[in-house]
Amino acid sequence: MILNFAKNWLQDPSRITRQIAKYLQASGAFDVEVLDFEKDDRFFSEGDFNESVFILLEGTVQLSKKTQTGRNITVDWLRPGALVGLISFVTGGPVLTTAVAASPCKAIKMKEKDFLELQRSRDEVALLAQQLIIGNLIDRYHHVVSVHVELESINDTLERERNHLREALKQLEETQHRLISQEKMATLGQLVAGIAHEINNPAAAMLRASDNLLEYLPEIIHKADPDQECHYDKFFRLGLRRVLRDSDQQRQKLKEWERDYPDLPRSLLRKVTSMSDEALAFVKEQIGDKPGAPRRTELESMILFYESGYFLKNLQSSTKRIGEIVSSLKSYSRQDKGKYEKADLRDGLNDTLLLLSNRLKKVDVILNFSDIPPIDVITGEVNQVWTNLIINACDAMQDRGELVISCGHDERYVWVSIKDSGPGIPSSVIGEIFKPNFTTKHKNTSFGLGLGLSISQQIIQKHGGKIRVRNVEDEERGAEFKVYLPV
Amino acid sequence: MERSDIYILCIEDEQEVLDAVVRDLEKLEEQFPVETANSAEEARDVIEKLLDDDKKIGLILCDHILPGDNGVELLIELHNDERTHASRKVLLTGQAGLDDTVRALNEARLHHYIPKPWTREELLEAAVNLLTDFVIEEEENILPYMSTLDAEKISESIRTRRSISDE
Repeated sequence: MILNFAKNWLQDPSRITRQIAKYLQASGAFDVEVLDFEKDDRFFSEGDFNESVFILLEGTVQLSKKTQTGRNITVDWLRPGALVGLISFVTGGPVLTTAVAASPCKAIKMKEKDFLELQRSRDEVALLAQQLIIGNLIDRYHHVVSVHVELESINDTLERERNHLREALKQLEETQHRLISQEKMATLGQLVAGIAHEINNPAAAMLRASDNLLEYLPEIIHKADPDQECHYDKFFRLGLRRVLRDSDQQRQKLKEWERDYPDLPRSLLRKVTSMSDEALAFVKEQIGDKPGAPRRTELESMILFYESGYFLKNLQSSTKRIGEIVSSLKSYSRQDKGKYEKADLRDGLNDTLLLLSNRLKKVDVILNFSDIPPIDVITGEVNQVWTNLIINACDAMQDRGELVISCGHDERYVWVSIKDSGPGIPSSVIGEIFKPNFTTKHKNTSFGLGLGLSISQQIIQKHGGKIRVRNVEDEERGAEFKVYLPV
Repeated sequence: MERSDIYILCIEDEQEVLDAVVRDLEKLEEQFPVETANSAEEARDVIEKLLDDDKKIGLILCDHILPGDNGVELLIELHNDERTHASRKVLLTGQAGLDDTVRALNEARLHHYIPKPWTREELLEAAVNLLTDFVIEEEENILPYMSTLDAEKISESIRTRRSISDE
């Protein structure tokens, strides 16, 4: 019945209040006051017990509420036609909000009994009262709905911002990791360069010393055997350019000599029989079939010079190797302070391979190096990329298999390809591998920071290049990383 | 000095290092012939040949990293082979200072571990000790080893053996 009126009276609630006000005044049966409120005057405060209801005729009322944290928030604004204090008045409970005049207001204050009386008045007045109440409730309901909608959109915004923050935090963490790792590499580089420098001096001294010995010893030997009767000189030189016999062959020879010279000690015979056929023939010629004891001394002297020869050679070759490792370490870790310099990528690859040689002992390394022009790179950084890629390849192959490293160029790029014979990269992750924190090495390595490829890519991009990966799917298997650096 | 049929086997892929090891063991060679191998594969070969000739392998010195194989794996393999189970096993390694490596060695029941670079005294001492243990454990007549190996331990063992057989 009431709903029939809906459209008209809801549009203009003040019309209803005016009629009600007129009726109340005309009737005289009601104890009502029309009150004027200044701005900021209170109708009632949150928590009060309210015995009256106000029908707002003019002005705006602000409803506010204290939050748990003690802040005052505005809950709603009431305009003419509104019933102020309706809910507490009906429920009899404490007032939910504080009502304050936001502008000068005029309102009818009614006591409970009068308000009930009003609803029991003549039909049309009762209807007006009902319309007023329902209109108010509808208003409040609208308000609640719009608050919900607003809340939802605020939640959305919040969620979006939270995602942004999460993303930003993640990037920050990645950057931090990367920085730490770069810092570590830089520190390690300095350390290595320092150590290389320290080792360089003794290594250089050793190399010089062995060179000098090589020069002096033949002279000394000559003095020990001026008439060349014992051929010490010859045995020393034989030792210097010792060529090892095949070990099966040597065992065979050793058996023969043990049979022929049963009274000679085995260590002596072992050394003798490790000599080349030519030397062996010469030894036999020297000792002939003289009786045991003098033969032994003679042979021991020969071997002494022979051994001196090859130990000196060992000293020299080992020292040279130290020198090579040190110089690779130096050029590998060169602290070029981020400067671009013209370099042949093959040098860096060779340095890296030499330094990783321990790791590569069980891997067949195949180099297909074509001629490439020198290009501008930061050597230390590019070497880090080779190291990362080669170590990854070794990990993928579990240190057994074939590592093919090739290089070449066209007008625009010099490329380096590093291909392993491992199982390849699962297609489900091949798109992910350059992302920071991607790693497959959760279990068994202490490295596995998941930064190797992401840093490699960063370094290559910094050089204006690109890095590509693919699984080899022709007759062989494995993964190939190809780095392109601009000419 | 009588040559025994107990061999020392040195496995090392770098000839310079192998030369040095063999030279350092020369003092023992009169009694314990030295055999060498440059790889795990060759080592297995040499071992087969020696065993075929009814020789014993008293001591195995093995490099940590060999081409195609890991020294630790090879030693474990030889440890699990009953014919070389009793052989004393030594790992020569350039990767000292790795706690877990040392632990792995201990758990693999290897007998000794020598970090590179070593000294002749160190290597000889280890070899003498281990060969002493080996002959005491494996040989019936240990008197001939008295002069080369740990005389005190050997005479102690001879006494103990005698007192056991007396009872």
